[in-house]
Amino acid sequence: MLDVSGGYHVAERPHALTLAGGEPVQLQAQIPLWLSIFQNYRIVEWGGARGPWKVQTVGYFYALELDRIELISFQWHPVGQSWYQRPHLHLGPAAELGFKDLQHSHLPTGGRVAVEDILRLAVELGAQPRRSDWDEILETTQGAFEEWRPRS
Amino acid sequence: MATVEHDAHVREQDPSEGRALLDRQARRYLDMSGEEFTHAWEAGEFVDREDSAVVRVAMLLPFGR
Repeated sequence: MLDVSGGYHVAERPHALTLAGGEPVQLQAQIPLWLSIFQNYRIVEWGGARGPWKVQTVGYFYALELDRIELISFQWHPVGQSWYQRPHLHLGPAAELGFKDLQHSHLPTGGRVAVEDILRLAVELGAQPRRSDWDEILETTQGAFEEWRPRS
Repeated sequence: MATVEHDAHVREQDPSEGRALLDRQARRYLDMSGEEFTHAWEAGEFVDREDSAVVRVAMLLPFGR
Protein backbone atom coordinates (compact mmCIF):
# COMPACT_ATOMS: atom_id res chain seq x y z
CA MET A 1 0.00 0.00 0.00
CA LEU A 2 1.41 3.37 -1.05
CA ASP A 3 0.42 6.47 0.93
CA VAL A 4 0.47 9.87 -0.77
CA SER A 5 0.05 13.32 0.75
CA GLY A 6 -2.82 14.44 -1.41
CA GLY A 7 -0.40 14.96 -4.22
CA TYR A 8 -2.30 15.01 -7.49
CA HIS A 9 -1.96 18.72 -8.20
CA VAL A 10 0.61 21.39 -8.94
CA ALA A 11 1.92 22.95 -5.74
CA GLU A 12 4.78 25.12 -4.59
CA ARG A 13 6.00 22.49 -2.13
CA PRO A 14 6.72 18.86 -3.01
CA HIS A 15 4.29 16.06 -2.29
CA ALA A 16 5.28 12.88 -0.48
CA LEU A 17 4.86 9.21 -1.15
CA THR A 18 5.72 6.37 1.20
CA LEU A 19 5.20 2.67 1.58
CA ALA A 20 2.96 1.37 4.37
CA GLY A 21 2.57 4.63 6.26
CA GLY A 22 6.32 5.15 6.49
CA GLU A 23 6.86 1.82 8.26
CA PRO A 24 9.58 -0.59 7.16
CA VAL A 25 8.00 -3.59 5.44
CA GLN A 26 9.39 -7.06 6.05
CA LEU A 27 10.17 -8.89 2.83
CA GLN A 28 9.69 -12.59 2.34
CA ALA A 29 13.26 -13.81 2.64
CA GLN A 30 15.51 -16.28 4.40
CA ILE A 31 17.00 -13.39 6.36
CA PRO A 32 15.03 -10.71 8.30
CA LEU A 33 15.12 -8.11 5.53
CA TRP A 34 13.03 -4.92 5.73
CA LEU A 35 12.37 -2.28 3.08
CA SER A 36 11.50 1.42 3.44
CA ILE A 37 10.54 3.70 0.57
CA PHE A 38 10.05 7.46 0.70
CA GLN A 39 9.82 9.86 -2.23
CA ASN A 40 9.13 13.54 -2.60
CA TYR A 41 7.77 14.61 -5.98
CA ARG A 42 6.18 17.43 -7.92
CA ILE A 43 3.62 17.56 -10.68
CA VAL A 44 5.22 19.57 -13.48
CA GLU A 45 4.22 20.72 -16.94
CA TRP A 46 5.95 18.65 -19.55
CA GLY A 47 6.01 18.87 -23.32
CA GLY A 48 6.09 16.04 -25.80
CA ALA A 49 4.48 12.64 -25.81
CA ARG A 50 4.45 12.34 -22.03
CA GLY A 51 2.84 15.77 -21.51
CA PRO A 52 1.21 17.96 -20.64
CA TRP A 53 1.96 16.89 -17.04
CA LYS A 54 4.31 14.46 -15.40
CA VAL A 55 5.47 13.38 -11.97
CA GLN A 56 9.05 14.42 -11.21
CA THR A 57 10.91 12.92 -8.26
CA VAL A 58 12.69 15.64 -6.24
CA GLY A 59 14.06 13.52 -3.40
CA TYR A 60 14.11 9.99 -2.04
CA PHE A 61 15.12 7.76 0.83
CA TYR A 62 15.25 4.02 0.19
CA ALA A 63 16.54 1.72 2.93
CA LEU A 64 17.12 -1.97 3.47
CA GLU A 65 17.36 -3.10 7.06
CA LEU A 66 18.59 -6.35 8.50
CA ASP A 67 16.62 -7.29 11.59
CA ARG A 68 15.39 -3.66 11.80
CA ILE A 69 18.96 -2.28 11.79
CA GLU A 70 19.95 -0.22 8.76
CA LEU A 71 22.03 -2.13 6.26
CA ILE A 72 22.12 0.38 3.42
CA SER A 73 20.18 3.51 2.50
CA PHE A 74 20.07 5.39 -0.77
CA GLN A 75 19.39 9.07 -0.29
CA TRP A 76 18.83 12.20 -2.32
CA HIS A 77 17.51 15.22 -0.49
CA PRO A 78 18.55 18.34 -2.43
CA VAL A 79 16.04 20.58 -0.66
CA GLY A 80 17.00 19.33 2.79
CA GLN A 81 19.34 20.83 5.36
CA SER A 82 22.32 18.59 4.73
CA TRP A 83 25.41 20.10 3.15
CA TYR A 84 25.57 17.07 0.86
CA GLN A 85 22.89 17.34 -1.78
CA ARG A 86 23.95 14.87 -4.47
CA PRO A 87 22.55 11.34 -4.71
CA HIS A 88 24.45 9.06 -2.35
CA LEU A 89 24.26 6.00 -0.16
CA HIS A 90 25.09 5.22 3.44
CA LEU A 91 26.21 1.86 4.75
CA GLY A 92 24.49 1.30 8.09
CA PRO A 93 25.45 -0.51 11.30
CA ALA A 94 24.16 -3.84 9.97
CA ALA A 95 26.83 -3.71 7.25
CA GLU A 96 29.38 -4.18 10.07
CA LEU A 97 32.07 -2.06 8.48
CA GLY A 98 35.62 -2.53 9.62
CA PHE A 99 36.32 1.17 9.02
CA LYS A 100 33.63 2.90 11.06
CA ASP A 101 34.12 6.39 9.60
CA LEU A 102 32.78 5.07 6.33
CA GLN A 103 29.40 4.62 8.01
CA HIS A 104 29.07 8.39 8.29
CA SER A 105 30.36 9.11 4.80
CA HIS A 106 28.24 10.01 1.79
CA LEU A 107 29.10 7.44 -0.85
CA PRO A 108 28.23 8.93 -4.25
CA THR A 109 25.97 6.90 -6.51
CA GLY A 110 26.85 8.85 -9.65
CA GLY A 111 23.26 9.85 -10.26
CA ARG A 112 19.76 9.14 -9.10
CA VAL A 113 18.98 5.58 -8.16
CA ALA A 114 15.72 4.02 -9.31
CA VAL A 115 13.52 2.15 -6.86
CA GLU A 116 13.82 -0.81 -9.23
CA ASP A 117 17.53 -0.97 -8.40
CA ILE A 118 16.69 -1.26 -4.71
CA LEU A 119 14.25 -4.07 -5.40
CA ARG A 120 16.87 -5.93 -7.44
CA LEU A 121 19.32 -5.53 -4.56
CA ALA A 122 16.71 -6.90 -2.17
CA VAL A 123 16.28 -9.96 -4.41
CA GLU A 124 20.03 -10.40 -4.57
CA LEU A 125 20.12 -10.33 -0.77
CA GLY A 126 17.52 -13.07 -0.59
CA ALA A 127 14.06 -11.51 -0.96
CA GLN A 128 11.60 -13.79 -2.74
CA PRO A 129 9.73 -12.08 -5.61
CA ARG A 130 5.97 -12.67 -5.67
CA ARG A 131 5.91 -12.95 -9.46
CA SER A 132 8.04 -15.02 -11.80
CA ASP A 133 8.22 -12.13 -14.28
CA TRP A 134 9.58 -9.68 -11.70
CA ASP A 135 12.76 -8.90 -13.63
CA GLU A 136 10.84 -8.16 -16.82
CA ILE A 137 8.53 -5.80 -14.90
CA LEU A 138 11.44 -3.98 -13.31
CA GLU A 139 13.15 -3.63 -16.69
CA THR A 140 9.99 -2.14 -18.21
CA THR A 141 9.27 0.36 -15.44
CA GLN A 142 12.90 1.36 -15.06
CA GLY A 143 13.12 1.82 -18.79
CA ALA A 144 10.33 4.37 -18.59
CA PHE A 145 12.09 6.10 -15.69
CA GLU A 146 15.33 6.30 -17.66
CA GLU A 147 13.58 7.52 -20.79
CA TRP A 148 11.56 10.31 -19.22
CA ARG A 149 13.66 11.62 -16.37
CA PRO A 150 15.34 15.02 -16.80
CA ARG A 151 18.99 14.90 -17.81
CA SER A 152 21.34 16.59 -15.37
CA MET B 1 6.08 1.48 -24.38
CA ALA B 2 4.79 -1.68 -22.70
CA THR B 3 2.15 -1.44 -19.99
CA VAL B 4 2.76 -3.23 -16.72
CA GLU B 5 -0.19 -4.78 -14.93
CA HIS B 6 0.17 -4.58 -11.15
CA ASP B 7 -1.87 -4.94 -8.00
CA ALA B 8 -0.50 -1.93 -6.12
CA HIS B 9 -2.88 0.19 -4.08
CA VAL B 10 -2.57 3.92 -3.46
CA ARG B 11 -4.13 5.54 -0.40
CA GLU B 12 -4.45 9.33 -0.46
CA GLN B 13 -4.12 10.66 3.07
CA ASP B 14 -6.38 13.56 4.02
CA PRO B 15 -4.73 16.36 6.04
CA SER B 16 -5.58 14.90 9.46
CA GLU B 17 -4.43 11.42 8.45
CA GLY B 18 -1.27 12.93 7.00
CA ARG B 19 -0.49 14.81 10.19
CA ALA B 20 -1.06 11.63 12.20
CA LEU B 21 1.33 9.72 9.92
CA LEU B 22 4.05 12.36 10.34
CA ASP B 23 3.45 12.49 14.09
CA ARG B 24 3.70 8.71 14.45
CA GLN B 25 7.02 8.49 12.62
CA ALA B 26 8.52 11.58 14.33
CA ARG B 27 7.73 10.05 17.73
CA ARG B 28 9.10 6.66 16.71
CA TYR B 29 12.39 7.84 15.22
CA LEU B 30 13.10 11.14 16.98
CA ASP B 31 11.01 11.04 20.16
CA MET B 32 9.20 14.25 19.34
CA SER B 33 5.81 15.12 17.90
CA GLY B 34 5.29 15.81 14.23
CA GLU B 35 4.47 19.42 15.04
CA GLU B 36 7.65 19.78 17.10
CA PHE B 37 9.68 18.28 14.27
CA THR B 38 8.13 20.61 11.71
CA HIS B 39 8.89 23.70 13.79
CA ALA B 40 12.44 22.53 14.53
CA TRP B 41 13.04 21.72 10.87
CA GLU B 42 11.78 25.09 9.70
CA ALA B 43 13.98 26.77 12.33
CA GLY B 44 17.01 25.02 10.84
CA GLU B 45 17.72 22.95 13.93
CA PHE B 46 18.67 19.85 11.95
CA VAL B 47 21.40 21.43 9.83
CA ASP B 48 24.06 19.38 11.57
CA ARG B 49 22.05 16.16 11.73
CA GLU B 50 22.98 13.69 9.02
CA ASP B 51 21.42 10.54 10.38
CA SER B 52 18.84 8.48 8.57
CA ALA B 53 16.19 9.06 11.23
CA VAL B 54 16.07 12.77 10.42
CA VAL B 55 16.01 12.21 6.66
CA ARG B 56 13.32 9.58 7.01
CA VAL B 57 11.01 11.90 8.97
CA ALA B 58 11.86 14.96 6.86
CA MET B 59 10.70 13.10 3.77
CA LEU B 60 7.28 12.93 5.41
CA LEU B 61 6.95 16.68 6.02
CA PRO B 62 4.48 17.12 3.13
CA PHE B 63 2.06 14.91 5.04
CA GLY B 64 1.95 17.49 7.82
CA ARG B 65 1.15 20.47 5.62
